[in-house]
Amino acid sequence: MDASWIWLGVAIYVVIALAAAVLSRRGTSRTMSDYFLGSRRMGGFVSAMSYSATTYSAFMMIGLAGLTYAGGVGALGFELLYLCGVTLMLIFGPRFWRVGQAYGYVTPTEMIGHRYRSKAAGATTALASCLFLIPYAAVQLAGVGYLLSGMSGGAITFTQGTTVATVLAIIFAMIAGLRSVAWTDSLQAVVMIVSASLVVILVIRQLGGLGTFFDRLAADPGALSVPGTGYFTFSTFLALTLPWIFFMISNPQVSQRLYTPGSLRDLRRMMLGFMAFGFIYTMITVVWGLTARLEFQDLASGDQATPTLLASGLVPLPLGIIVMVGIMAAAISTIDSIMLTLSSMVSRDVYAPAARRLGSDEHTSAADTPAGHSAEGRQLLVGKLVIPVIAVLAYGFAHLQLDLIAVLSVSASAGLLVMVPPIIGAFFWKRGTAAGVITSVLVAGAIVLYLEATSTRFLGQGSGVWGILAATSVFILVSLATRAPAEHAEDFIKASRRRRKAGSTEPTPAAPAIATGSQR
Amino acid sequence: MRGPTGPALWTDDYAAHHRVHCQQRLDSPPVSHFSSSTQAPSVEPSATTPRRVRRWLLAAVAVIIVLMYLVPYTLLSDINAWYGSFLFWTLTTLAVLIINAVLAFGWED
Repeated sequence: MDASWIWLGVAIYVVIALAAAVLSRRGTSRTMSDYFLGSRRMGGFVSAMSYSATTYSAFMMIGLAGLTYAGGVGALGFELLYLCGVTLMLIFGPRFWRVGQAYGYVTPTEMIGHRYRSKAAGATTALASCLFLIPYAAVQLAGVGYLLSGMSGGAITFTQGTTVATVLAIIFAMIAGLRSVAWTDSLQAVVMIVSASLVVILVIRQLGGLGTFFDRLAADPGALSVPGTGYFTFSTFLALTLPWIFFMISNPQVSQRLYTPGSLRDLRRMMLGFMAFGFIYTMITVVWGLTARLEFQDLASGDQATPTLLASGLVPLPLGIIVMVGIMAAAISTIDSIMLTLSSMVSRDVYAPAARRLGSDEHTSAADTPAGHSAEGRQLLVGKLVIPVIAVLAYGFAHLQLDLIAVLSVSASAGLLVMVPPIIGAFFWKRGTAAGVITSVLVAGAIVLYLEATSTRFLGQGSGVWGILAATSVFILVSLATRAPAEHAEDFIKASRRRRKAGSTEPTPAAPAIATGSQR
Repeated sequence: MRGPTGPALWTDDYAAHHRVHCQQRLDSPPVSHFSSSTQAPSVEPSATTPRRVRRWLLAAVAVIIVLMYLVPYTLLSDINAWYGSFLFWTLTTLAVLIINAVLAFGWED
């Protein structure tokens, strides 16, 4: 495809997205909660589309399609299991939301630090998240690089593609924080699902309809079964799906969104919208990847599948451009979410405690006092400055081009798995301690890092398996050996539960702390 | 702007901030900042989805997920057609999503 068409598509996207971002601003954000969480007032539909756009990134149409191309229907099982992980949202969504309302959390790692009464726990989990999310952001940039270079037949280089993506991501994130991200997300999600559906329907029709499509696949050994031709062995499947099932609570850029809805009704709408979107989008993407598998047998890498198919004669030019733009938008919205979350975590959970300790931000009570304003303002500034730093680091990692996008994404998420035991423990186990959190994250994180860096499959299993086993056992053992913040844990857990009918004997969450002054 | 926007702390200042903040919320009626529906007393679980039913449904989800691992690799591993793993995974996912939707309507409003 001629490169000039591609640049035209990019230009149209930039204009529309900038307009949406600027229009979504409502004055300058003065507070962390406003900038990073849209003041906890995000409505159901926008939240649902934004949540969908955050989780379903360039990973889908490039990464998942590529995985389908390489391994067949196993990729469908993999991605549908991810969607089944929404059950965790069912269990943890209201709990995150309630404690977010009660304690004013802006980041999930802040919640961990507060719940376990330890700044160090908050900082450790924040830094671990940065470590493992930068590669995840990087594969989004790489996705755009493959897309633009693949579609233009190399006329646009991988470097040019990733540079464009990086610059746009920084600009959109800086304009208005989460609110601009949420609105551009919603736009992108709608464009993506509509254009992807259209293009798949078109291609299937051209290939002779669903019947022919499945007949041809049946003749391709391994396309419709597992382990098929051997790509998706059971241990591979397990290694890929485990980090994916816990994604919604292990990935902070996604779990942070649980603080944003204005009410439980909005949270529910967010969840239902996400489920519908996710199911449709997954089916479309896998069918798309299987189509590429039928039509182009000799691609160098699975990640070439989508660009090749989009630029082929099977897809009309305008639709191909629209889908391409949609994928770009998906990648950039995901990067933005990651950057926003990481920057909020660095400024809130690493910078702020350090600044307080050094005495530079002495007044830390309500944000209404002038001193409170400037402390919050400084946090916000640090948060904004961190954004380009993260983007540049991701850009550097993207150029390593280590493996298939799907595989790299899962590796990054395997590292984040180590935070799952402390998060589950926060809501269900009073005995968890800060020491347990810190040691489990450090030990298990190091194990995952080592296994990934050396490409080792210990006992034939993936890094995520060992990561979660190590994290769980270390967390439990160390917690049992140290003292737990029992009363505080009790308050937190009560705050996370649904409120009982008035007149019941069980006290409401905040009451004990106030009545007895025992909150410490 | 009402509502918790100050930085969270883990020192004694936090306790004071939290007490004041929570006391304000308990004392005064909700502002439009929070949807009024969150301030109403919650509905007893039995009025929406009974607790036992909720537990069984969640257990069903766990079982279905385990089956999503086991069945394609055993019973369906030789069926290279659309009605094999493709259909199985699609239907089991729909079942999980429907259960999730049902349970989500049980959240207090």
